Amino acid sequence: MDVELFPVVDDAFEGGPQFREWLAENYDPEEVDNDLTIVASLTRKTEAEVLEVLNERGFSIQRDLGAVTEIEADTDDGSVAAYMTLDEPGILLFYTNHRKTEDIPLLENFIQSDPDTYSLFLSPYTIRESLDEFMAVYDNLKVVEFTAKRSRGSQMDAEIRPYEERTFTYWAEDGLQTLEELQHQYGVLPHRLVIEIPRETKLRIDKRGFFTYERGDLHLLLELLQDAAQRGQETVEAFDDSSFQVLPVETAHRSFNIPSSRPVQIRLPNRLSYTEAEDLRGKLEHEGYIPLSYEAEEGSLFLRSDLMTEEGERFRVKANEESLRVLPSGDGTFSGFMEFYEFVVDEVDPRAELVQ
Amino acid sequence: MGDGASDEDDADADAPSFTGSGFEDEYLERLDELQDQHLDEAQRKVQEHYDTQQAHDTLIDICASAFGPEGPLHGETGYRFLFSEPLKELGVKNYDVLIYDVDGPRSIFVECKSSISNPADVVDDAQEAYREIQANEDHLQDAIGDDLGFTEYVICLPSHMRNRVIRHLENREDAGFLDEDEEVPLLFWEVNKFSGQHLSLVTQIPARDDVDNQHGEHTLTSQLSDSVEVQDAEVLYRVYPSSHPLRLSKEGLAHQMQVNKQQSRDLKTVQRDDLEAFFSNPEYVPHYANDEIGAELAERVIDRGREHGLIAEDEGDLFIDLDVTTMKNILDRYETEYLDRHAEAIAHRWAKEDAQEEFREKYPSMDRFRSD
Repeated sequence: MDVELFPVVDDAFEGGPQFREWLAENYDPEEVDNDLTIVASLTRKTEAEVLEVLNERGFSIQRDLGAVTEIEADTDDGSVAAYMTLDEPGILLFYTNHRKTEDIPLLENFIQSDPDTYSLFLSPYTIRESLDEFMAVYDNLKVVEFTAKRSRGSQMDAEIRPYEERTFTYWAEDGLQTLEELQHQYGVLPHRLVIEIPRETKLRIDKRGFFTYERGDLHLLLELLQDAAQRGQETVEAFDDSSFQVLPVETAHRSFNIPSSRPVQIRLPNRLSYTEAEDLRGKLEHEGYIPLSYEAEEGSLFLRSDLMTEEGERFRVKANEESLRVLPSGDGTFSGFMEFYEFVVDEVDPRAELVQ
Repeated sequence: MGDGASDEDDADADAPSFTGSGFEDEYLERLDELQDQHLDEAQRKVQEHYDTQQAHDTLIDICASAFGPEGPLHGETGYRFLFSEPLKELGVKNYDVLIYDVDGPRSIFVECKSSISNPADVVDDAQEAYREIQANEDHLQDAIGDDLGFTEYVICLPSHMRNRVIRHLENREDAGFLDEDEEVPLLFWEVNKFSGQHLSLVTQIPARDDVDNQHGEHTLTSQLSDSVEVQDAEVLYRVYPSSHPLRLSKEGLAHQMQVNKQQSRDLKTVQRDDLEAFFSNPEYVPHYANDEIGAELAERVIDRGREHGLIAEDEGDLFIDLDVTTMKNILDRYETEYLDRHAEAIAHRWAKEDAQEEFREKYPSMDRFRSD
């Protein structure tokens, strides 16, 4: 392993928040190679189950620090070391100073392939909002790097060729103004930002749930993480409230098994029009979903579609202008649901949010 | 000339019977022209029918879900959704949904209508289906596992169709009562599926007294008069026996392909018993005569597939006859081809009727058409 994992005292931490507070007080970027990256994900597995799967993937436990576990993997596909915390419900975090492009994929692979786990993705709209909040407090804030995108069929206002799908990646000191200009001209939203507040901090947030700290006051990054984690927990709770069960209904001499589904409701503040609902079919197919049925009716809007993935996961979607309900069937996973939710955020309404 | 078979009945007739002449060419050319002309209309009609059947499925969803085990009426009344299409396995006119209250016992038979060409048919069909229930009461009670008890009959309509049917009742002597003694009123529910899925009882029908527009169970009347919203839970089936054959095909074949993957078979293999197993699963298709319905639906999928050249046979084995390779592309192409070929068949049929009509007028001495 060529990069030494940043040091953590041999203590028993009470929980994720306590560990992060310790990091804010004690982490010294001068003593560590590369930047600190926190890879954030949501999971429905227990900590023991996560460790078991990681073990199968070549990870071993180096130290047990109470709520924190130090893990390490050295495989043909790469090597990485990290600390791990799981804040219930569902916030699974990996803390590492290993490098994003070379080493972190081992962790990413677990998050992407595990059916009960998914990245704690940030909506570009939320990234934008976080930036605005920081700007309100720090008027000398700079954005020195960003990636911003416009998705196919986006309804965001754009002055120039709104029908084009776009990605901008930009490096310069005037990133903040450029981002504003591009947002106005081309209707793009940030997927990745490198924020520099002189004498305060330099940090990076990435839509895929990566929070990176370069220097300065770690608290600012941890605030962003905390906001995301809170939304993530609301997501997990909303998902946990949904269900698919086969329930018996009895008569004097017979019993009938009725499949009953409780949906997750996704609110659409930007509202869904009939035209968008028609276009949605194409977007779903482009994303790899197979619509086994698709009913869209105007007046205001009614949408009903049975969707299946190549892997055989299925769910029913019902929507009106204001919200979309995802009705789980017996064969669906948390990961499958999150993938669809991310699709809705990216392709339907960047302000989409789950309803408790 | 000919054996005297009626040319009106000879649906396979394609060309004039006399040999030699240019009539055959002229006829076939005209047939082609007419088919082209009719194609747009045929496509529109086919799509419309497909859409209407999907809307019908939605109405059944909503009626069943309102009385589902986690539905809005659960705990408010004892009525529960049991299954769809009672008596369908006998091949008779039937209602779409049975809602049952074991405490009565009490039954409600619901017929859902997503399109209406003639409101008179709606009521007449409901009356016929009512008579079938009377005639097959024992069979039904065996299916339910209990007595029918106090029974009511409902037509469920989308809101925007309600008025047309209600107005029609004023033209009827029977005012929508199911029996001659005017003791069994046909009740009406309406569904508004926009801005939420709302189910309500139609309480005001000018042709009748208000008391005839209520359920026997007071709680149900008051709940439905205020309208219930289906949103916190729904029953979730794959298809209904009355779903459009293309819908049945997509669901059945999606299942078939999943099985093929699990069994490491060729993805496009079609096996009747896999389809029957799918359609006879009461958690996928709500019915009590599972084996019969399963066989019927599997047969329908295979028949229509073969009719449209989408399912073919090779030495006794069936397979999906499309040259795309992924499940997604197969299902996508199946839908487009099914609808296109169905439309072509309809356009061809219309064209043939027109062409034969034209030729009879043009060449009145010709007394029959023969098949190719």
